[in-house]
Parts: sequence; structure tokens; C-alpha cells
Amino acid sequence: MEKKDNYTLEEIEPSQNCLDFIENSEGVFLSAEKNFRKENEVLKQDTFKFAKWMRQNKPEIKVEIEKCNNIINLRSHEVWIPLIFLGTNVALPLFLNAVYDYLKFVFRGNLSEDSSRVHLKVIYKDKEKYKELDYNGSLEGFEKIKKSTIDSIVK
Amino acid sequence: MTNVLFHTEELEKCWIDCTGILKSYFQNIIDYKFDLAGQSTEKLIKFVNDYENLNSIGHPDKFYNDCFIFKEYANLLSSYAQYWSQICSNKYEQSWDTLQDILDSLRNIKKFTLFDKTILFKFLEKQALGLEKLYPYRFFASTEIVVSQIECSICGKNINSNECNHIKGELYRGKMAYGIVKEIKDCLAIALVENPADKRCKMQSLDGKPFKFPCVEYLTKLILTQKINPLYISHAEETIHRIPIKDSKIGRNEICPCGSGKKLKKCCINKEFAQKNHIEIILKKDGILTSNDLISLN
Repeated sequence: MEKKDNYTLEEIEPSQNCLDFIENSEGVFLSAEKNFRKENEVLKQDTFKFAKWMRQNKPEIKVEIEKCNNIINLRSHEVWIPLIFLGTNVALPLFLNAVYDYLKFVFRGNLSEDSSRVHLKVIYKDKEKYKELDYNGSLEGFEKIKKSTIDSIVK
Repeated sequence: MTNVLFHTEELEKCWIDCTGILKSYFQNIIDYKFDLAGQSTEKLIKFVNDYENLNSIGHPDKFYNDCFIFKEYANLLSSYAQYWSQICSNKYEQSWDTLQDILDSLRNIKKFTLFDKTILFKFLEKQALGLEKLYPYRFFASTEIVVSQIECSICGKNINSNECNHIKGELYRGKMAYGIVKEIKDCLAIALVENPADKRCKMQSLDGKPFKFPCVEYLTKLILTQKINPLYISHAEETIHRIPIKDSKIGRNEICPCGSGKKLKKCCINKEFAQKNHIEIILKKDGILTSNDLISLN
């Protein structure tokens, strides 16, 4: 059964932790999150693969990972990117392009009927507002979201 | 890259040296001698292993990565022969796992080469994905576990640390990096999913009865009677047949043609059409693959 692509872009009140990073740090922060089945925070399964790929392929973007010993491993054929905060020097279009390149890298061995589903949540500062982009869907859908988001910012 | 499969001239030469084995493999498939075809692939793997060991000093990483690709290609052919052998022995559950081996080899080869541009790759991909549809498996088990320590298969260090530069699933001097889970902290759930990482984790039916494989049994008959050859099968297509109910001669007490097993009067009697799931095995329009299609790397 084909799942729909879900995308939301909302203004939010960030946590203090998130606010501190967005206002004072450079690069991106990969954050741990509460899993709905677990009380303690966990890091999503693609956290370290994504971080290593970023460090090797986008060295201009500094990557920081929250200290957390628990990594959730879902054994699904989907990409789960952790909750990400964008720092002062990382614009959303730049970051979305980096994520898109990463996804193409991850899915390059996919066969024609393989799922290319991705889960992504990014918190960033847009002028004086804090926004959260939340996307669950296909690679093709992500490409469209990326393009329209970049177009709206450029305008 | 010198061709679609290899990045080094050494492995291209090795491939040419193996042409005889490859031709013999495909001839055995054409002759329905699947076990003999499987034996050819053992020769192929031995040939590449010997070649790698003889030339193991002073080569760049891409040489070893090419050796990995060649072995993966040999594994693909081996699984393909084994699959048809299992089909002919009515080992349907095992054949599903072997079909997954075929698909995994295709993914690995596509990931590191341009082999997906060849006629053979397109043929095998379409056929293998089509064959999946002949099986009754639709949902799979996927574990949701919390892990803390994962060791890198290449360097032995914590794969989730700055000390390890290896990315899971990538090739390093002919070896694929993977993470070895050293500690599972918690198992949160086992979910039923349609797209697991591994479709070998198939679910048994809820009523506890073993699955039936009518479509695969039909395919087996066609192969055993040599009515169609594996290299002649393009793919399988799921369709819905609409069987007219109104004005038909089907009696009220006859079994409904939708396949529910109920009487017509208790099933689709008020519908214009009964809908029945149907799977069609589609043959290649242009006949069996040619010898050039099967071993060409261009």
C-alpha cells in the first residue's frame, strides 16, 4: 500500500536546549528524542551514519551529536534522521540540499519497487520566528518540498 | 570505469577469462540443469578468490572493491540457480529466502556499479520483483530495539564514535562495513510492517495453518514440464478480474466466483461484478535472452 507524503511547517516555541543552540552555535545539532514507547531519550537509527556522511561530504557544516547512549534500531527499510537544530550559520536551503544528497547516497542501491521513505524534523530560526519543518514521505516528495521551500525563501 | 561492472582493467580481464564458465552457467539454466549451473558459480567464486589472492599485494582499494563486486555477481548467479532448483523441489519457503538473496545481491551490485544499465540486470530485477508477488507473504516482523554498543566490522571500534570513519554499508578495500550489536538494552516492540529491512522475517498466518503457494506451484509445473524457461519469464502482474454476476448463469447456491469460498447468495449476489484477485505470469515478448545479453558488460 502506497503511503502518503506528510509535510508540516509551523511556528513553535523551542525548548531551552534548542534555543541555546540556534542562537549561539554554528553548524547543526543532532538531538535525542523521546520515543513514544520509552521514557528515556533515544537517538534515531540514522544519526551516526548521517553525521559521518555530513563530516566527510559537507565538511563546511559542523555537526554535533547529543550525548546519549541509547540508539533506537527499527530494522525498517526507511531513513530516520534525528531531530535537528540549525545553528546561526546554516541556512535551511543549504541544509535541505545536504539532506537530499545524503538520501540519494543512501537510496542509490534501491530497486524499482523499494521504499524510499524518509522521516525528518528540523527546527530553525526564520527572521525572528522559530519554525519546525516535519516531513514523512518519499524521496520524490522531499525533492518537491525542498524546491518549494527554497523558492519561497529566495522570493 | 572501464565498463559497467568494474573500475579496474585487472578485473575486466578476469571477467574475460571467466567467459567460458559464464556461458556454461547460462546454458545450464537454458537446459533446466539448475544444480549444474550452481556448480559453475562455485568455480566462478573460486576463480575470483584465487585471482584476488594471487594479486593481493600493491593494489589500490578499487581492485579489492572490484573483487567484492565480482563475488557478489557470482553470488547472484548462485542464488538464481539455487532458486529454480528449490522451486523444482517444491521448497517454497526456502525459495522465498533465496529470492531475497537475489534481490540483496542486485541492490549491492547496483549500489557500487552501473550494472543496472545492462539488459541482464533489468531482466533479473523485473523478474525477481515479479516473483515476490507469487508468494502469500505480505507482512513482515520488524524489531524495535534499543542498542548501546555497536562495533564496526572493519576497525573494531565503536561505529558510533568519532574514532571510526567507516559508514555502514560502504566498501573498504573489498569489505563491506557493518555494525555488530554488542549490547541490546531493550526490545520495545516487534512491529508488523510492509517494508522491513529484511523480508526473510516473514509472519506465519494468524490461524496457525501453513501458508499455501498456489501461484508458485503453478510456476513449478510450467518449469518441470519445460513449458517455459526461467530466462523466458519477464515478470508477474497483479490484476483484478471482474466477473459479471447480474444476468449470469451462476446459481444462488453455487460458490461465489470472487474466491471467498461462500455461496453466491451470501456473498456478491447484489453486485454487478464479483472481483477476483488474479496474478499473471508475463513472458518476455522478444524471446529468451541472447548469449550476448547475458554476459555483455556494455
